[in-house]
Amino acid sequence: MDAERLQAWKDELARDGQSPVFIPLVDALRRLGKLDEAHRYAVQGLERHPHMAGAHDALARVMADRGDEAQARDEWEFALRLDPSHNASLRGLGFLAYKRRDLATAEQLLARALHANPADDGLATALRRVRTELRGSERVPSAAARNGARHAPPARANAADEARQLFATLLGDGDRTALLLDRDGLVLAGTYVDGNGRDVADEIGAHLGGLADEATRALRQLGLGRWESLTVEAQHATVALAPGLEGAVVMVAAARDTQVGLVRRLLAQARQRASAWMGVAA
Amino acid sequence: MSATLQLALGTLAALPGVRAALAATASDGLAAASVAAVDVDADALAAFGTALFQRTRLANAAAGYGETRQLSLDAEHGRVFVAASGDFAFVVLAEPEAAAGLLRVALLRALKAVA
Repeated sequence: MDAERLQAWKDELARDGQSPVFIPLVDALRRLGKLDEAHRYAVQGLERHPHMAGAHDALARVMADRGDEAQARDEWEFALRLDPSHNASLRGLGFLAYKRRDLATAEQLLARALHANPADDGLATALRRVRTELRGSERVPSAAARNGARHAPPARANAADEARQLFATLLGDGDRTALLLDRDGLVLAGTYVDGNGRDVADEIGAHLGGLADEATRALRQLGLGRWESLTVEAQHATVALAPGLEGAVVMVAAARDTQVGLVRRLLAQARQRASAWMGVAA
Repeated sequence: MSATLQLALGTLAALPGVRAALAATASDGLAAASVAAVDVDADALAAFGTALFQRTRLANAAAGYGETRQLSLDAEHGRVFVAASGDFAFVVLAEPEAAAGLLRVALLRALKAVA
């Protein structure tokens, strides 16, 4: 997002407080990690447009990024009362349901969202994933029952674990972590662990949502073709990213003393595994 | 443009395979100075390179990986390198076959020189 466009939106809002440009402005600020500023514009916009579903959606996204899922849910539910087919709100609520492993609700919401926007490939992928997990969660208890198990294993946890562990065998025991994000930054698989062992995957997703689309657009403008990989060197880690299927992003991080060549090889393997995993239910 | 910055940009632009070298503000992506081939949109390159850097900087901060030093993006028809310190960034566009190691070292040296 270029600064000129951000400023143009701010100027337009200063001239005309009723302008709907607060919606793309909030989204851009959110993606830049400027959550306080995004929140301020979202609240202002909502005050001026309390009956606009998109205004509630804008605030919901900020709240979701801030980790306040309860308020995000409230805003998306309100948006759906105003517009029952509001795609972004169905999608947002669907992803919240997926996160809390309420797969049946997630499936229902994402299916409604896809019905409203059948061309959304990312949504179609997410729905296929949820349906696969849902089928898995239905199969496991019956198998356990056939085997006479007294306590059926928690099937939803199994599906979630499978997604979290997708890259585990590639990464080994070293200081490495890998993640698969959808085009909006939703965590599809893997984990992203910080130095204290805390999984910060959702935060990383919030910062990197939309990256693949942005890179694709910018590189087209610059005449550079498709992006193939991105390597980032930080003080304590080397991070490598590559595009996955349908706008997804695969990323691998390793301790700073790991050779860049090895990180890139891990990325190639993770990308291959992610593509196979996403294609399973295609 | 200061003499040091001019020299740094000239040095970067003279490296084999480099098509553009520019200095920009990291926070808003505005190009302050550039040495670029005529067909390169320096403003678009500055905006894209710095926005990408900002995103990865925020992600690295969230992961506790410390300060982000530089990035390189490989595309079908070129490579983009960005190195930043504080609010100052160098962005370089090079041919796909340009030597990444040499460019990374040159970028860090240039950054150190103008810091």
